Amino acid sequence: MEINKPITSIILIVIIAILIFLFVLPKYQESRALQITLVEKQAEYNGKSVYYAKISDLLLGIENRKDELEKINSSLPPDLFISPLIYFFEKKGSENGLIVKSIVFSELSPISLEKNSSLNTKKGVRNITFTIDILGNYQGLKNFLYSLERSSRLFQVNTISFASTESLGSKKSSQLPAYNFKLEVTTHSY
Amino acid sequence: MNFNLVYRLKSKSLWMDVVFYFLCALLIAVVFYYFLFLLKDYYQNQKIEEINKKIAVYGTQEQKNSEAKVFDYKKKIDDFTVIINNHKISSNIFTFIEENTLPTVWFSNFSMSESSNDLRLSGESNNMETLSHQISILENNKDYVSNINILNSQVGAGGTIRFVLNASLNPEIFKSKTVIQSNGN
Repeated sequence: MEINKPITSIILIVIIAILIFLFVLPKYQESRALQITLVEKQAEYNGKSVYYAKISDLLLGIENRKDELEKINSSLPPDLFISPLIYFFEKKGSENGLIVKSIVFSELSPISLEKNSSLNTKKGVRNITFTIDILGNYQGLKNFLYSLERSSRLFQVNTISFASTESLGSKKSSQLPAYNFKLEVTTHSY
Repeated sequence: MNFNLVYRLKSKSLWMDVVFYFLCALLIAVVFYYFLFLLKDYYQNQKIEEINKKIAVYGTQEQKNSEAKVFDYKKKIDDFTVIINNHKISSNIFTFIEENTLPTVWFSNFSMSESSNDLRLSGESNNMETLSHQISILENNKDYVSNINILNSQVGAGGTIRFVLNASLNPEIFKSKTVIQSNGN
């Protein structure tokens, strides 16, 4: 049987065009899209595996440095309890020969940590300010301040003022002169 | 006989053959590529499913708890760093005053504000010369005293000089690593 080549060629062109536009081209585009998805998934997997490996390393680091981090925890306790602070001031005062006459819880304000403003939106650090009136001698006050500075909890003394309870004329007496000290102390908590 | 016509007919038939066989080859290639893409899609889908299964392993509750713990500590460390960098040691002021006060000068009132870096002292000296020397010691200590802005003195009983002075302190004095040294007297 003789094939009519010109007519068959035209039919072939039509068939090829239909196959390309209806089957091959969409399949090619699908294949390209899948390839992109595959690369993205692979990147996501790599990213996640590296991320969680890093988290595990960091957690291990935290476990190894528990003591240091515990100090940070005690410096910045998660909850605000005033009674241990009052007890601490009373205890340190009496240890240094001072009489704590009054402790006034004067202020509770959020601290402005510029660098971490985004981090602190969840649960920010708060400033707790106390005004403490103490009676005692100068050496006692210094020791009291050193106790605050050495404490695991961070205390910052904002203002110190004192006046002698005795006249200047009695400064040469053998006893150390007594002063009324007024301190404004700030500590921090979440 | 017209040989030219025979030659032209033969040439046309050859070109038709070339085009025909080329189209046949193209059709086979198109079908081949279709199946090739079909196979490729199948393997790519399988790979994506495998990776999805691997990804699903991550982000378990335990890992999320670890993540939360790490971020909690990070926040604490960051907050602590900011606080510790701004932390000031107020007892340094006493070391400074002790190191820079003449033995014949006494202070009776003291007021210090770390936030405004102000120091207010009231006291007594045995004479005006001693007070002048004392002020000069403080003024010359430029590392820790910016300036002395108020000075009020008056002769008290027995020739002693009572005075009040206000000094602006350099914030360096409250830095934890500051080593206060005497300026010499």
